[in-house]
Amino acid sequence: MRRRAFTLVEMTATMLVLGLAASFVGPLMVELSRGSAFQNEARRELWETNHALERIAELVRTAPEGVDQSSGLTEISATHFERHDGRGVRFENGSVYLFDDDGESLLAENFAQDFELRVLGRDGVTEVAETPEDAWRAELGVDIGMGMVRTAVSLARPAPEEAESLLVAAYAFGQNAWTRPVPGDPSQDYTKVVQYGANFTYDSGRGYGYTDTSGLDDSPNNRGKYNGDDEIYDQFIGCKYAVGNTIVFRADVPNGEYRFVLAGGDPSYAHTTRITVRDGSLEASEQVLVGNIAHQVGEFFRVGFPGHSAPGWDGEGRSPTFFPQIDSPTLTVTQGYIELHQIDAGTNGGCVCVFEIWQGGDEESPFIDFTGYSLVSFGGSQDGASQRETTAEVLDGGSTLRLYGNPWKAIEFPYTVTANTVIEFEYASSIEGEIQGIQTATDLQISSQRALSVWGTQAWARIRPNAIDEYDGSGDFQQYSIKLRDVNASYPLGEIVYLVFLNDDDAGAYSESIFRNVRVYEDE
Amino acid sequence: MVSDPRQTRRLDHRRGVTLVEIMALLIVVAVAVPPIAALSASSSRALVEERRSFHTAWLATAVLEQIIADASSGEEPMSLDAMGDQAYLDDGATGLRARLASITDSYENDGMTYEVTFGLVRDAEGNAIDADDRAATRVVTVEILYTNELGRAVRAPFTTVVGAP
Repeated sequence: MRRRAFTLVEMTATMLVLGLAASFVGPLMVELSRGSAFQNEARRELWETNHALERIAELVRTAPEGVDQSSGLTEISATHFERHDGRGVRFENGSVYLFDDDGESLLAENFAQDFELRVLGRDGVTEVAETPEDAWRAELGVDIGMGMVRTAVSLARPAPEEAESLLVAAYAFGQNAWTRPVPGDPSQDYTKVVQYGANFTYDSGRGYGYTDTSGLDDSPNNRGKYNGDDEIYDQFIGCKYAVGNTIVFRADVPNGEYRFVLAGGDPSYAHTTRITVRDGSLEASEQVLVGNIAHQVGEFFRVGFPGHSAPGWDGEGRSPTFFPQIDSPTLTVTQGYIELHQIDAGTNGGCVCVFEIWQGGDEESPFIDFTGYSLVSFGGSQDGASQRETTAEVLDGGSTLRLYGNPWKAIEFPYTVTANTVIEFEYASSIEGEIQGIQTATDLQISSQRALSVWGTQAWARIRPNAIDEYDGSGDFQQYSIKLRDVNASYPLGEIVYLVFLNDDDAGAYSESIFRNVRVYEDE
Repeated sequence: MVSDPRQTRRLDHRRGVTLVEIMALLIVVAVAVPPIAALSASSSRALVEERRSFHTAWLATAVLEQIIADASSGEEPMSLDAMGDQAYLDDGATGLRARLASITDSYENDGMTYEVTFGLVRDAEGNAIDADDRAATRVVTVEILYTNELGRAVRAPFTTVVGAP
């Protein structure tokens, strides 16, 4: 059959149909193409925004090497920040500049439409643009065409590591030999001190045990209330019968600085407890671990210090209830042993379940709290000589001692002076006397060999100006940190009994000396 | 005018396109276009979801980093212990939500919200303890909530452990 060509009518109809179809499909295809291009562009902007924010956040977040609790930031504004090592971010004319270890780099030119930076302090509310070292968190935002994307970063750094402490001894107390590992050093078990057992009474060969059991609750305590690891709180050794009844546990330790972990309570009865520790048997050195705490059935007090706590409850069965942990004081031991005084402060009390002795690594010696000492007249007739006034005031909650007139005052401060011993204090005065300074002493006699004068018109005991800067008389506090053997190569070493504060002014007796933040420590 | 018989013959032998064929072509086009358009719409939704994913991550980062900064701040109202209290989250001026509002508002306007849950307080050995000054760590989960392009509710959880200073 022979085919024929389109007629004019057919051709016209075909053109109309095709035209109609093209009018729909053509724009659709154009739009699809445009949409695809837009999506590609949007996706690129999205990824760039993400990448930019990641890089900026990382720069903001990462503190320079060597900074501890400070942020390391030196400059902050809404458009830039800079750290002291030169790293930072700046937004300028639509461009974000990054400053890294390699110097300046441009994230992208004409890149960002907007940029936000807000740096806040620890409280999360206060802006710290004026004090960048206080920066603790930052809020960031960047707009690269997809709208502002915001986030926050923490600038927090880990707290400085605590000086490493060494577990010297760990004791648990009770009716039988059950024990468990020490949480702070799981390689060791608590040495269980068993009431009336072989290690109950002090023995110098063993190096620990009770030296005074006059106030002892003579019925060994094992309550049968707790199981598993909580057994450690089911047993204890304590006092009974009368307020003030005391038992004393002794542990021989090397001289040094110590902190303690301690816990006690009774699963069956209410108690009131006081616990103290002493450098040897020196009453003046006594530090309170637990001060007259009333604890009900199943309530336990705990003493510890950062990173070191008594065992927690095991989470199974009946469990002890703990009071908030009491921060352990530091005890300076010079007598070669520690006494733990367990005191009944009610009708029952002084019960102790665990007692750990930790030697503090390089922890700083605490400042002297003058409220814990009696001020003793020193130097015989020197204190108040010529009937001069001898005012001595303890101020600022115990951190400060003010002398006025002509006083020589001592505190009982047993200590072994070594070639490394440092006496540190802040000193202020507005009126010069004759001899103003500090002295160590083995008795109540004055000694120019032991005195350290920082101001005054008389040359007696004046080691300055060679080694000690003379006080400037401004009335402002000036800090002194005096290593005794550095200022006097023949400074007497060995045990001392007193630390003396002097403001000698026989002639006028109207001068003053103010000593603040006094401490004695070993500079190893 | 006399036509060339050879040309006429050639024309006679050429075959045109029939209406049926054109209609078939149109049907083919009609069938093909909707999937292409649907593909484009799907790609557009995917872009929106991709944007959501980034925003989800940045919003969760903002909340978690703020909590990390709080936990290590040493400020008592922000301690691990205090994080167990509703006031930590919702207190009018100083709660976490109020402090984060300048960041989270734009996300919330975009339909994204967040929830925070805290695990038990644990000591340095990982034992669950009553909240006190032995508190060392706490597990925190931030969930970002939004409705996706298909109308489904999405919960995106982010979990980390925060530590005390």
